[in-house]
Amino acid sequence: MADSVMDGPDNNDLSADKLRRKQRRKNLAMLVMLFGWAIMLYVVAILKMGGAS
Amino acid sequence: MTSTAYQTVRVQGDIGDYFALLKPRVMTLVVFTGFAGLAIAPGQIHPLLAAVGIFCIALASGAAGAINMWFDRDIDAVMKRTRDRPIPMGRVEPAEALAFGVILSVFAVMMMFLATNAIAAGLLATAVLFYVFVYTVWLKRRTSQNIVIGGAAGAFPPTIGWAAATGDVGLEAIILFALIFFWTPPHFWALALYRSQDYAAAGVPMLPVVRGARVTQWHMLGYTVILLPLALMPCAIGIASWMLYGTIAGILSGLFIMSSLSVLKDATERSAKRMFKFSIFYLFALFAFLVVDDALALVA
Repeated sequence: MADSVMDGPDNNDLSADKLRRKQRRKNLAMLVMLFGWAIMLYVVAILKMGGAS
Repeated sequence: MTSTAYQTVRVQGDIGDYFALLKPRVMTLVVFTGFAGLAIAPGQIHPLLAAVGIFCIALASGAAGAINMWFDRDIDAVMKRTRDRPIPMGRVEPAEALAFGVILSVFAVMMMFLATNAIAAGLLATAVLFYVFVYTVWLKRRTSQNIVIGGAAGAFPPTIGWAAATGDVGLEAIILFALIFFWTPPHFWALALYRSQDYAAAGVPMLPVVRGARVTQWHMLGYTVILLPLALMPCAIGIASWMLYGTIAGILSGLFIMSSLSVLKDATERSAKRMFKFSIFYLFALFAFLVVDDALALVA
């Protein structure tokens, strides 16, 4: 990909930092989505067991 | 992970790129019509389950969009309108987009089944499969009637909403389906009229590319005329009042026909753009007034 590898050593640090932050954001988004999914599953199961339709 | 290790990892897209894969603008209309179908259906559904059902429609619509972007990445890179999408821009790997779309589709259908019923989940799965295999893979690059037949995929949401609430697909749901089905061709052909060079460059046989602007304009007029009685059908079968929805639907459908006539008279891009914008407003307004009408009937 275009910005995967930068030329100079300074740029490498910058790029690595940028990548790390990007990866962290994605991991957090994934965590939120999975957590949300699990909550939704629980809510749906509880409502259905309670007789809701 | 060390900074050196990070450099060996291929950069993947940011969250915004994955969101863009879901075609959020298309999703808006899909969610709204799905909500309308659910809101006006006579069945009783728990509000939280209804919200989950709508969420599943949104998720499945986005997932189908992501798979479509994966399949169409070659033509997306050629067309001005789509060349800045995440895959042609190299921000998301094609395989990632495909996996993202497939996983979301499966999750959406599964959750729809758990939250509502098998009919709604089955319709949702059919809509995704229809959009991917019938429209994207089969028709889009083969026939000028691509969006006429393929447009059925976009017509499913109110039917799914209706089925989620009632567990059934009745005549009412079929009319809502037909409304979007007949609205889709003039909507997309208005866009194709002022993007015909783009479609031609990508080799997509949209009607204006294959048959020319004049034939397309006549076809558009035909569909808008069909929409007039169709838009009034909810009144005829008793799910909307003539007084509010019927009046609004009649006026809006008349304006849609007029807008189509203006495209026929004025061959410039301007009239096609105006009709494209109006077509979006038209569908939003029709479904909004169906919901309002239904809510007022409940209050009264």
